[in-house]
Order: sequence, then structure tokens, then C-alpha cells
Amino acid sequence: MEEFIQKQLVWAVAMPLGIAIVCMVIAWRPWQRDKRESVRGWWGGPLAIGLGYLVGHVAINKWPSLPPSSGDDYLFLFAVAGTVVGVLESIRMPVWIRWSIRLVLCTTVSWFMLSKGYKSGHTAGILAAWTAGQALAIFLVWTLLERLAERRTGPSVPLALSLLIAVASVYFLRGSSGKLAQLAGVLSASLGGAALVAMSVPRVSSARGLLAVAIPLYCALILYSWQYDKPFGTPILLAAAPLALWIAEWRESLTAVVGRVLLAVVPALFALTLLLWFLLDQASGESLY
Amino acid sequence: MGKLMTRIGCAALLSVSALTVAGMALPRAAANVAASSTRQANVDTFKIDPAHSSVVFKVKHMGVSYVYGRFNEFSGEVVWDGEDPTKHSIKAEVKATSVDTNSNGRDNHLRGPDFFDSANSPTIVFESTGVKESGSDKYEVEGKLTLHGVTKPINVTIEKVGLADLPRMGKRLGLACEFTVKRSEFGMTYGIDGAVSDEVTILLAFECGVGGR
Repeated sequence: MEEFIQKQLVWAVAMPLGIAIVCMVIAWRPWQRDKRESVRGWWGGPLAIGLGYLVGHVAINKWPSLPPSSGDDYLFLFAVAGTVVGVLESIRMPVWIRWSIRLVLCTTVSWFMLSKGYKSGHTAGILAAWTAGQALAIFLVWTLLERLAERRTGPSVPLALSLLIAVASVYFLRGSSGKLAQLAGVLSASLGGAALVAMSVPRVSSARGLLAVAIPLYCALILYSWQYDKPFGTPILLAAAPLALWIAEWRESLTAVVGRVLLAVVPALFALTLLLWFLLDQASGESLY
Repeated sequence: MGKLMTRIGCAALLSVSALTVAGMALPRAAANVAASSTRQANVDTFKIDPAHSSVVFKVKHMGVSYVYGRFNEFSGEVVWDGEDPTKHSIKAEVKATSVDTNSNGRDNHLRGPDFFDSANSPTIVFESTGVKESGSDKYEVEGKLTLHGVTKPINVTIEKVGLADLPRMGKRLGLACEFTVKRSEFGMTYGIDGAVSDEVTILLAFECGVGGR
């Protein structure tokens, strides 16, 4: 068991964290103080999160099968797609092109995270409505957080997301799947690496690319878990939690990094409490299996 | 005139030969038709009777013990040719959500993304592609197993436990087999480091009836 935990710590935490730090450092060049150089670093965010996640995913979950046969195979492909979209977003392009690409990615995530069982039992109209609704929700979370990240450089956005996803990881573990918990842990560690670099380089921004990997992947994890978890409100709370960062925007007294991060984590903790309540309600005194 | 007679003679000879060959061949063809209909009569299509059948599996837990589980919902069809075993065919479909290991929490975990991912791969399917007799009431069956959305070829040895025409139940066929698969080959890798073994032994015991009885 100790060997298992050591392996998890190395592959699910240390490797993604290290890869993210290396990518961010190379991209943002902390040793250069010239502000004009900051433009060069945008591509670092998506690569840091994308590569960190992909390495962790393969280490924990092995290579995905092609064509994809299960939800976690799709998670791998979403990470690849998110990384590509993120790098593309780091290049200046018209808003309508950026938003179109974003919508395609959100719709793809939404469609493939509807289970096959659900798809076979519902009409095309209902499936279209669910796909569009979920895609719109992912798009909104991504775009609103992006707006915030454009204004707030530094560690608050990646740090808040990292902690939030760490809490969500506990939710996945208790709710449905150790594997999803591990994968969320990998994503959290990658974001943690980006946050660490942003702490020492305040001009580092999470806008234009980083969120293209983090948000679709985070939402895909929630949607995948939702296929099995029962409490209806928890996935909505978890998905909306990053938007709590906006509250810190509105109130001047809460602009400190710690305050903003805590605000994002509170809804996730609330979601976790709801799940634990649900599980306690269901508990039948079973021993550990 | 001589040539004409020769031609007529040849034609007559050919006709006689043709009639003779046809006369020899016809009874054979008739016999073939009769054999074919006899064989048809020996081919039965059975349905698996879930009340008298079991789909059981066992895995090693933490390397120290075996844990057994079963599936409660399954169905299938067996085509059994009484004369030509190569014509046998078997198809069985198991609902992944019906997994039962006598622990609700564990069953929910098994249904989830870590193992069967039953929302995305709701059924486990075995379909034979070829059968040959390998001994007394033993058959080597080649087939495809679809598990966790992944389809792999598989060879199993099936034993015919019995075949009888029972007074109230009609024709019944009993088949049984035991085989081992590596779950990692089907993309089920969670906990493979020690908690739950890679090798899963599957035990099947089917009682099948004709006409849904």
C-alpha cells in the first residue's frame, strides 16, 4: 500500500506540478523584468496544465483506447483538444473566431459526457437541449473566469482553481470514483504548479489559454461523475464555484488573494457537505469493502 | 448415309450415358435433401433460462483472498446442432448494472467509472464465432467478448452438462465453462496495483430451454 501511495504522490502530484512549473518558467521567463517580454508567456499556461495533466493521466490510467471506449478516454482527448485550443487562444485572433472554437469544444465535451445509457433512452430533442445547456454553462464559466483573469494577474485564479478542484477530488472519491479523484488531483497539481510560478512572477496571467484546458476538463470530470452521483445540486455548485471569484471583484475589502481563494472553495465545500449528508443518509452500516 | 447413321448412333449413346448419370445422381440428390431436413430437425434454438443459470466471477482481493460476485440480469441464445458441432453458436448478454457482490457500496463502485462504467458500457456481451468438438461433451469455442466497451477475441472450453427432453419443461440444455480474463486488456485498470487482481475468473452455468420455457 505504501508503494501505491508513493506512486500516486509521484505521478499524480509531483510530476504534473513539476511539468507545470517548468512550462510556466520557460514561457514567462521570471528572470526578465522587461514588461514587453510578458507577451511571450501566454502559451505557457495551456501547455503547463495540458502536459501536466496528460502525463499524470497516462501514469495513473494508462493510455486511452482508440476509438475511445469509456469516459476517461474522452477526458484524455479533451485535455489534448483543450491544450491545442489554449495554444491557439494565446495567439491574438478575432473574438468571434475564439468564441466559435470555444463553443465547439464546450459542445463536444457536453455531448460526449452524456452517457450512452442516457442517449439511448431519450429523444433527440431532449438530448439536444441537455447538450446545449451544459455546453452553455461550460462556456459561461470559462468566459466569465477569463474576463476576471484578464484583469487579475498573479496567482489568485490558478490557486483558487487548484484548491477548488482538490476539494472536488474528495467529492469524486466519496461519490463515485477513485479514478476521477486521482485525475482531479492531477489537474489540481498542474494548476498548483502554475500558481506557484505566478506567486513569484506577478505579471503571469491565467487568461488566453490556461483556462481552455482547466475549465472544460474540470467540467468534464463533474459531468462524468454526475452520471453516477445522485445529489442534483452538487455538480451545479461545483461547476459554478469558480464564479465566486467575482464576488471578490465586487467587494474591495475582499481583494486579498486568500479571501478570493477561500470564496471559490466555499461552494465546493458546501457541495461536499451535501454529498456527505446524502451518503450518511444512505449508509447501511456496511463495513469497508 | 453412313455418316448420318454414325451421328445418330453417337447422339443415342450420349443420351443413354446422360440418362444413366442422371439416374445415378438423382437418388443421391434426394438423399441429400432428406439428410438436410433431418439435420434441420436436430438443430434447436435455446434461450438461456436466468432462473436456472448463473454468471459468477471471482477476483483476488489485496492478494490474500478471493471475492466472488455475480450478475443477476442476463439473457442469451444458444443454437445447438445435434449432428454438426461446428454449427453451434452462443450469444449471451449481461447487464453490467446488475452486478452483486453482497455489498451495496462496493456494487455502486463497481458500476462506476473505476470498473464497469455501466452508464457508458451498459452490457457485457459474449458472441461465439466458431465451435469445434474437443472431447466427450467438450467444445472449444472461439468468440468475442465485449467488456467495458472493448471487444477482444477469446477462446473458452465449454462443457455440455446435459441435454434432455423433460416431461414438463421440454427440451433443456445445460452448458458450463470457466475462464480467466485480464481486465486490464479491457481498459479496466483501477486498483490493479494490488487491491483487486488483474485476472478475473468467470464461471458460467447456463440452463437453456426451447421456446422460452
